[in-house]
Amino acid sequence: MNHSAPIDSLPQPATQRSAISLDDVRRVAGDIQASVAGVIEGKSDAIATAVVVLLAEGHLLIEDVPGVGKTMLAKALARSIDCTMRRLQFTPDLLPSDVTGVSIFNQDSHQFEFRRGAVFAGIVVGDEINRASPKTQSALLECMEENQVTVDGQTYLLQRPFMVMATQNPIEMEGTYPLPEAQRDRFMARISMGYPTAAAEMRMLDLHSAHRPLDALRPVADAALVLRAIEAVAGVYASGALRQYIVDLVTATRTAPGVRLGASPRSALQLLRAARAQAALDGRDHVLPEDVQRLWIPVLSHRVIMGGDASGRSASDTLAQLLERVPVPAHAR
Amino acid sequence: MTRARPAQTLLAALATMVAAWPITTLFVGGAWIDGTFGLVLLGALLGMAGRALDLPPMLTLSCQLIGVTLTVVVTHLHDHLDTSLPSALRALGADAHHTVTAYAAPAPTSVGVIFFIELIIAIIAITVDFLAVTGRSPALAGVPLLVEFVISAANSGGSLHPKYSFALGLAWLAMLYAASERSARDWSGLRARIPGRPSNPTALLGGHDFGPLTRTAGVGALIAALVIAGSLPAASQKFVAKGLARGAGSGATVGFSSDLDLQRNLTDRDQSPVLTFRTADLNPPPLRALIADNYAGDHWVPDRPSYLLHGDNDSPLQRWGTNTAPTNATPYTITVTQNSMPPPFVVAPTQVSSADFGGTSWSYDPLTTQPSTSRLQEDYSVRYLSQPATARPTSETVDPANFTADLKVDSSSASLINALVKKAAPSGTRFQKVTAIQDYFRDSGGFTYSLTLDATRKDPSGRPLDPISNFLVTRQGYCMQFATAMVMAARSIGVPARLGVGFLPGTVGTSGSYQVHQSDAHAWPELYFAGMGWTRFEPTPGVRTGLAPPYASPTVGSPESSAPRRSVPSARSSRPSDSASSAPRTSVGTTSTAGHPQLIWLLWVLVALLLIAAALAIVPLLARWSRRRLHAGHGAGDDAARVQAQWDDLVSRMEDLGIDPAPQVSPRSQEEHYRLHLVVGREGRESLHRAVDVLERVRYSGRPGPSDDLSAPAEDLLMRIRRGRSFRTRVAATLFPRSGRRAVRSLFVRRDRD
Repeated sequence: MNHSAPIDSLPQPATQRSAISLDDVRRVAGDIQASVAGVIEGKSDAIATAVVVLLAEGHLLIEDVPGVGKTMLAKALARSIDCTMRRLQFTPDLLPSDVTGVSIFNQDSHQFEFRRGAVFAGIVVGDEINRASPKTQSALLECMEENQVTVDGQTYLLQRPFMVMATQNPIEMEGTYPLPEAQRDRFMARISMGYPTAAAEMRMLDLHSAHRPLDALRPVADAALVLRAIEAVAGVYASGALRQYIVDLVTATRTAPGVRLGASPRSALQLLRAARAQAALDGRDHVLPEDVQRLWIPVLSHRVIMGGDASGRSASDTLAQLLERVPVPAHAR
Repeated sequence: MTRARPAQTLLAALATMVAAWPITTLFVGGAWIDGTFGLVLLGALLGMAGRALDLPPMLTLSCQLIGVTLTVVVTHLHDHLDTSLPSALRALGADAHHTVTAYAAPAPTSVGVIFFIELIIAIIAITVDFLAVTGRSPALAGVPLLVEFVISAANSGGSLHPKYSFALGLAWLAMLYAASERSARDWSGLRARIPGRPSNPTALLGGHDFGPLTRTAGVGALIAALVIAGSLPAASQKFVAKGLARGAGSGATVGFSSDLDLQRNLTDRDQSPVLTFRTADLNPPPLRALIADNYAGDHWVPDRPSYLLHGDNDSPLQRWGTNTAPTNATPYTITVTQNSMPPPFVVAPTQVSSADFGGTSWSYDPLTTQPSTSRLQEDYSVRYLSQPATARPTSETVDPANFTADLKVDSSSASLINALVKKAAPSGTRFQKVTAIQDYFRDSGGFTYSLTLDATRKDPSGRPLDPISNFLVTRQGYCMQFATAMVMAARSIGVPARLGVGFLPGTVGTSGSYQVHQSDAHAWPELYFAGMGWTRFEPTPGVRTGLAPPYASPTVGSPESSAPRRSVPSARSSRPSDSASSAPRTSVGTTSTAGHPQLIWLLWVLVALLLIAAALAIVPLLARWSRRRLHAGHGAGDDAARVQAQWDDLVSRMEDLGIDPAPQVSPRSQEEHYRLHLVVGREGRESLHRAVDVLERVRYSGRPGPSDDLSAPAEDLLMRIRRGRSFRTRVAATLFPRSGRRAVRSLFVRRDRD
């Protein structure tokens, strides 16, 4: 088949497959985490968040200085799952069609045929996403939101699981186009790697100087298994009291002092989804306030914009304060 | 402890006591000081407790008022904590009223005075505490302090010494300083956050530094307190207590006005004694200065002596005409040591038999045996005759021709006088009749002793009543009215009568000598009986005059004769029931209810306060009980709500035991919090974990069932906690649970949104 692929010819979500148990979810997630941890030293929090985002069908924004292993994390996660992985190095001259794909005229068949872009993969690693032009950025971000690509009137569904892991450099450099708020909102969570501890760095030098650990990485799960895990996660129960807690928290960001732009309703939704995944990761069939608290800052920190009168407080500080201040409700109101 | 603000509280209490300092000039002795001090301290402690518990201000104030009022009542009226309380209160009120109206400052400290001084100062102390500490407005607290100060300032004889106002100013400034320093400290958080800024909070806020200005103003106020108070003349002040305050000029001059109205003398606040004397007579008679037998329709005209004989020291006086000596009498002597009566007046008991004026030449009227001197003799002695209880007239009839002036009836009041005589003494001998009339005025007639006369009434034809009739109608007056009415009543039945004017024997000092003040001025009727001579009667009620003369007492050995003597302050203060037993006599009949409405009002306030106190004691338990019941009702149908209620109950009972919960955190965080603050051992921690686990499952897993129940681990945990707490905590948790207190507090503040 070399002509453009219609919707039904693409891999479809396996709805008929039975969901796996939460214990299996925990095991699969544990395997993935262990596998990634073999490559990234001492970053279990970042890895756990990445797995949570994977199981919650979200996208991850990794923001940090160069060289701390952003791309390594993305690649390791992709390799741990036996699914297609594409890497996009964002540059100012990267075109939207490079991301989504393009229809070209086939001289032989005298037909237009669709060449798939980089997003047609299970895991897409977008390096230095803030270096691409806004037009290209928004092409990627549309795919992230819609889980589909529309080119020349034809709509192509993307694979499942589909996860974009974008890295970006926080240091303002020439030729960068920072992601607008609306597009940052599409990422479920933002993590930063941070420098490793001295011990972890030492161990890294010991292990990684001789060979490339990424090469040794063997997949511990396949796309189908991950997909079933994702479906199991969606069934995790969130009680009224807990949903109330999320609403209270998110509402509080909109009135917190120093905040210019509070969290969107989408962030509440994503927080709940992430919390579900977190609960499943702990083998629980229901979400606890602790799950919400654990993911509160990764999920919200890139969505809350501080105003000029914040007197130097970062969004994370404000969010941490809200976590202290907002009471945990005993029941839904 | 900082919430209680002990330093400011004590300063406020101190300021109240300082403002009460000048009251020492109003009353003899300091019997009220200890009690007042204790009450002020009690009010302060209650205030601190209320603030430490973070009670609403009004609740704190109520607690203070209730505590202090109850203490005053229990201390002073512990024998009357039953149905006799109203009458005992009335008696105290009448006693205090009598003291402040009848005595010049310094007045004796009677039980009633002590009671009301303590109560008033304690209430002022609470007001000051409420304004300055609870309400954080020490400047405003100056108003009640000033009121307290003015009570003394208005009633003392001369101007107050500047030290009083200076001390009060100092105390007030100290209170202001303490409060503002505290509020300045409240800004220190701001100061700490902004480094490199000036440390003065006002400057930090962009304002000016008011420090030097306020210091100057404070010092200026103190100087003004000294200078102005010291330089103001002692003006005639008219404030608060009518009797003490109705200034009639100060100074030691003694004068009887031409119309012989004693009211000015009676209300005189002059503290210097007119006279000091000693006598062996246990019940000295009043001292006479003047005689009047001519009533001019609305006032008496004093007699001028018609004859004056030169007096020889210690030789018997001549008696002329109707001035016969009593046949049955005991001689007594009074020795005057300090006399300031301006000549020619000399005071002496009636029935003088001889006198010794030292080197001063003196004379006497043989018709009255009233001595007089040409110049002031400071010390003299007089021998006089005192008639025993058995003295009775030898004959009931007199020759009217000898007593024309003393039998002249006032025509305008004759009808009322006749009616009174008919009612008071329908039968008997003339002596029995006048005794009955005297008794009627003193006791059974429903007359009230009062320095203020009631408004003049009108007769049926619209003309104002003459003074005697008006007195008989209004039944309110002082010695002048009583004496005049009795003179007219005696004359109307043919007993010659005249008016004697002088002084009551005054007060006995510690040395046993009597001190007579201006306010002891008195008037009484003198009636002529054959064999007794001119005989003194006493129609003015006992609250003022003490006992009636023995021969004129209704029956010897009756309760009245055992009644206490009025003029011995030491006896009064040592026997609290005295005033209580003598006071109701003045308030029989018409005055028993209408006379003291303020006391009845006070009683109602007291009853209300008692009810509030009782309610306060029961409410915490009640509130807690109702809350539990509410939870139980909640949980009837819904497993989740039932478990939640069990958990709430556990939390509040742990709170009662002194373990505060973390404010509204998740169950797991709460468990963490309790683990940090509980010493319950491994089993206790497991119980806690089981309870938290049930709560968490019910709250978040979405599958609550009837088997979910945390009461068993909760009871186990509570048992273990209780075992580790002190006995006091356990008792407090049972009797006065913290959760209940909070429930009560929320009633006063506002309802928690739930």
